Amino acid sequence: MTNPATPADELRAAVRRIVADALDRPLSEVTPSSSLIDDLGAESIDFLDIQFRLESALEVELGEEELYGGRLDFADPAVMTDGRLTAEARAELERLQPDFAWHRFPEAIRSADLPRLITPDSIAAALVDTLEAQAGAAAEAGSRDEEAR
Amino acid sequence: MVALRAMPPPTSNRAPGRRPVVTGIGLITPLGVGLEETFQALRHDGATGVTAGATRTRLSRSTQQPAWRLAIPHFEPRPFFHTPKSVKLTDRKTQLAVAAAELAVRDAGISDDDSRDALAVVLGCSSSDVDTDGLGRAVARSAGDVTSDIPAFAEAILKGLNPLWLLVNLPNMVSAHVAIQQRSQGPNWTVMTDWIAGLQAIGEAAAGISTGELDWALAGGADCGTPVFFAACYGQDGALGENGRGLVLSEGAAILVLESEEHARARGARLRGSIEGFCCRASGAENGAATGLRGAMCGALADAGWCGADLDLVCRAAVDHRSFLDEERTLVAELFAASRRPPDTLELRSSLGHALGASGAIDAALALRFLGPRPGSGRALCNALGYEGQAAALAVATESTTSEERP
Repeated sequence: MTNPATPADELRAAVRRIVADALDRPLSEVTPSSSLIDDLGAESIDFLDIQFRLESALEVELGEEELYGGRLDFADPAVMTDGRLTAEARAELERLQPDFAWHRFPEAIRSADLPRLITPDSIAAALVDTLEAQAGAAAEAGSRDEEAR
Repeated sequence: MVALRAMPPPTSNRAPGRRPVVTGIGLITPLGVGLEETFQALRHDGATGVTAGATRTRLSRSTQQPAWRLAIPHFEPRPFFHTPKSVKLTDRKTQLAVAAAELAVRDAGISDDDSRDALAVVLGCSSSDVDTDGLGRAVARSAGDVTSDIPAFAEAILKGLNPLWLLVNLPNMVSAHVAIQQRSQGPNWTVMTDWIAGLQAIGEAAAGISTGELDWALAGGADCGTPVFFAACYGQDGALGENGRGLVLSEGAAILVLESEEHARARGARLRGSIEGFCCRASGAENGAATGLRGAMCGALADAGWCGADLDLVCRAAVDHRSFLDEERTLVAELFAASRRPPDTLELRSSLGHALGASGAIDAALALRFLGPRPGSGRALCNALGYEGQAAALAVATESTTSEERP
């Protein structure tokens, strides 16, 4: 007997479907840990397309920074030095984005390599964060309205 | 009355060996994917070959479609794309162009190993429908006037459109995507003279081959007139008539592989025919289509070095709108009245609908097929008519099956 799908499972499945459609790939080829670029042939314009499809289907606004793990300032020398991710930043990004395709980059990661880390599950994780943040903001706004009344 | 025998002498500036020959034909119409499919369907549908006098074929109505539209049923573009992901970057007319180009390349026996470095792409189409379905949805969700405020427009309209929208709807995309899929690195341009564009593209490519500017080219037209947007626009102009009259908007593509004769013979290609002359004219300030069309027909025949009696077939533009149909019929009858043996005529709009900028190229492809290989070669003149007196005519010939010269 299998456990019923959780909302997070459904979200991951939806992301895989959207990625498969956008990249014209059979769903079976799109695994949770496929690198969109290295495994599925995505190009830069495909990320714009996927972002639009996700936002339209899920009614969420997904910023580019969320896709890349957010919260890290890649212009900060403590994050990027000589065009490569520092060890400390990598450790922090691995904590924030455990679903990135880290196995592809055993050595230092260049900034140009960052998009190659993105996987369907890392997108789903970013969406979960974004949806939770939106729900929190909406609840907070509701409380303020309630207090005002 | 202007008799075609009184035309000026040929003005060809063709270099030796530069005769533009046709070595491949790719055709997609509502009647079939492939030249033979459409040709056989036309014969089955009532055009039982070329006969003396007008051959006005019947409109095929085997599918459930509104009276103003004739679409290609069950067209799947992916098999024609070497990179299927690119399909999402293309609108319908570009997909049809890519498919027709692939069919033409196969027909011409061009292999993956053949260098495409100098292969040109010259295609004609009308304007994009700018994805009016998607644009309409984006506009519907906006509120207020956003037509004069760029940030407001971006927020209200563009956020509702896929960011790929621009790439899909740019006017150069038809030729660009054919070049991408066919790995062509030669000269590349898109002719956007609306209804005469496809015929003009073939004429311009043939001229480029004659003068040595091009060695070989994928040339023709691709278009899609079936979106509601076009029906609404042409409907406002009264073009979609009733009781069997008026335009039936359709879609399709016809692309020819054109080569200089020496290029084709060097690679051992089969010759399907040749482009012997082309002319594009306008009616100037005069009303109607007749002046421009007369100039185009006479000019194309002069370019070919033919007189009216040389023609076996005239493929009429046959645009059933305004006075175009009657003007063209009257003109053709008048021009060939002095001929001892008037050419047969063919009108394909009533079977294939009006595929806007692709129609002229579709007619040229089918004219070559209707003529077929024959002793002494066959000769046809194909017309295209646009709004406001713009017209084009293309002189095509098939290869002779014998060494005998035409009388």
